[in-house]
Amino acid sequence: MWQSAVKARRVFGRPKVGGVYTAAFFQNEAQFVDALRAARADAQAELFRRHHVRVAEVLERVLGPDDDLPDLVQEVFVRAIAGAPRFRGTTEALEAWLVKIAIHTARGLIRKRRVWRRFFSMAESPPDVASPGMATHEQIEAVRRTYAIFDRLPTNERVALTLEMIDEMPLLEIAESCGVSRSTIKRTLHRARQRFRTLVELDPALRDLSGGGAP
Amino acid sequence: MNSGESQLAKIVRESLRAMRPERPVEPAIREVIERGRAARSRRRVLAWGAKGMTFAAAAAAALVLYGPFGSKIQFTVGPEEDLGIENSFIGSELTAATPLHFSDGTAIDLLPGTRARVASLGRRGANLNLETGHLHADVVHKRMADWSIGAGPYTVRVIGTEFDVFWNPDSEELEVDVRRGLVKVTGPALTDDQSVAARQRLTVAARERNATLSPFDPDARVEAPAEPAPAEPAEHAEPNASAHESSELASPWVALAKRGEYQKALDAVQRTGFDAVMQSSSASELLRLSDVARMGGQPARAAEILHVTRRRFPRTDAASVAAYTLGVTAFDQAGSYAEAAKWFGVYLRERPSGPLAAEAMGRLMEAYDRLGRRDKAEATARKYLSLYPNGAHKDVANRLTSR
Repeated sequence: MWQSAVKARRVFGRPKVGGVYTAAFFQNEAQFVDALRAARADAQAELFRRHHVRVAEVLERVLGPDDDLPDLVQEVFVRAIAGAPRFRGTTEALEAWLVKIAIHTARGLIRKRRVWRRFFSMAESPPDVASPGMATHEQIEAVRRTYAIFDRLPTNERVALTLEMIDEMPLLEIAESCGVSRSTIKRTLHRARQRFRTLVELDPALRDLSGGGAP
Repeated sequence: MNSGESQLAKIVRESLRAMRPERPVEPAIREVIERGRAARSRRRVLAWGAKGMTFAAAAAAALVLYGPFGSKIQFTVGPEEDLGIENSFIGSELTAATPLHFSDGTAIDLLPGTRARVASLGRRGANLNLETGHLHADVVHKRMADWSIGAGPYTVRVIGTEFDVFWNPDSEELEVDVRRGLVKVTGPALTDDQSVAARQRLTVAARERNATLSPFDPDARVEAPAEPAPAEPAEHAEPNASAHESSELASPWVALAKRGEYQKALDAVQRTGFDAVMQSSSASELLRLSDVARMGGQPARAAEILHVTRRRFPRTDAASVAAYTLGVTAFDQAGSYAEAAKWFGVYLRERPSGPLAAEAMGRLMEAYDRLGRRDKAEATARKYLSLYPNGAHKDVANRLTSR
């Protein structure tokens, strides 16, 4: 029944993770942040449990439905875990910090995909919706067409506008999350809205959905 | 934004929500932690590179020569030998022991129903916290080895030996049975370090502040039962238990499952036909089969078997254990806390003072907390603290009642 030392050493070479993660609880929030900085697995698991829904929501709203979303959520947390020893805030600041990382990750992905498309002369195509879940055909179509328009905006404008329009993030928070000043984000959003309206006018289905574009 | 854009944004938001598939949380957590570790390792390698190839070569040589002696001990969990994580809780299966294997050759078995945590790993040993239950340890004797087992207020220090520790947090009773070697136990009701030598048993009742050291015959101890003891025997006991026991011995998949060969056991069941096995097996066999299916990577099949157990053996202990196990599976594997709360509630209604009632109530409280149902979480926490003031979930309950 008991494993020999030789066998025990052999199995540690495998890059496999398991174990049973049950809830990690900390005496107080400061202890949780300290554990996170010290790269403790239970704190990392707790960070994911607490904030994965919000991170996924931000990524989804900026990028639209995306098959890579689960991977991207993980990527955000992997980056956060790597940067945790340098995190100097309290638990209240953790979500904002993760949202900032999520936006940075999403922006990087949008740029990378654009370069890729340009490099291979690929046509700008509306995003595919592969995981429709419980959505109706009309809902899928509305999302597909809206994100096809977001896809045609410059990256910074797209990120700012999706955060304002779809995520309903307050202006100051958008500025902080994007790492720019309030006046810069105001200008960016102004330009983004104008472009978006023009493009919606060219899509009859979206024009109907948005009430004919009436101000 | 004008009103038309707000309307469009609302449609898009709702559509995205409807399109979002349910994803289990726990596998993602494991992957994030593993990816985080891999990223850290990569960064370390890059840092070495920056300091120069000579240094890296020297470090690599040093690692080859001294690595195994200078690095922390690692461990695996379960028969599948999944890499264990320091400071995470490990709960053994209800019907089977969970083995922990450490890189120095030390082996620790968590017997059924036991909850423990590998609190810290060092170069010369590890510190385990036995939350509740029974563990069997076979610690490899090495010079300067540093192993300890915490059980409530007690600490069992070990250098190299084979022993068992039983800890019941509700009655605050500790028992240490030493088969080989020597251990030292510290804690309430003990003066200084209490040595327990080979073939000795230390029994401590913390509340009565009573400790006794008695002879112990390692050959006489019967292995802990593989099935949880029934809480309400007579009318709830499964009929023809002995007949089922003999049929269990006759089933080839049971022998394979007992050896931890889950895939082979599943193959054997497949050959006979799952439906036939599910209809002919005893309640205890069905519970074991669900464990086998879960460990063999077939969680949906495991759930199906548990539902069959409840249908075929209503109002038995096995039906209640199946309800509890459905709750644990929903909680730990699917992250479906509403489903988990439902099944823990079923168990508590069926067996309010059953052997798993404390754990079911603790988990129910956690499930409500995860669902954001603060009132229910707090009410369950108060009930938990009144019934199990020293239970394994007391810290969570205190947190929920104090906020």
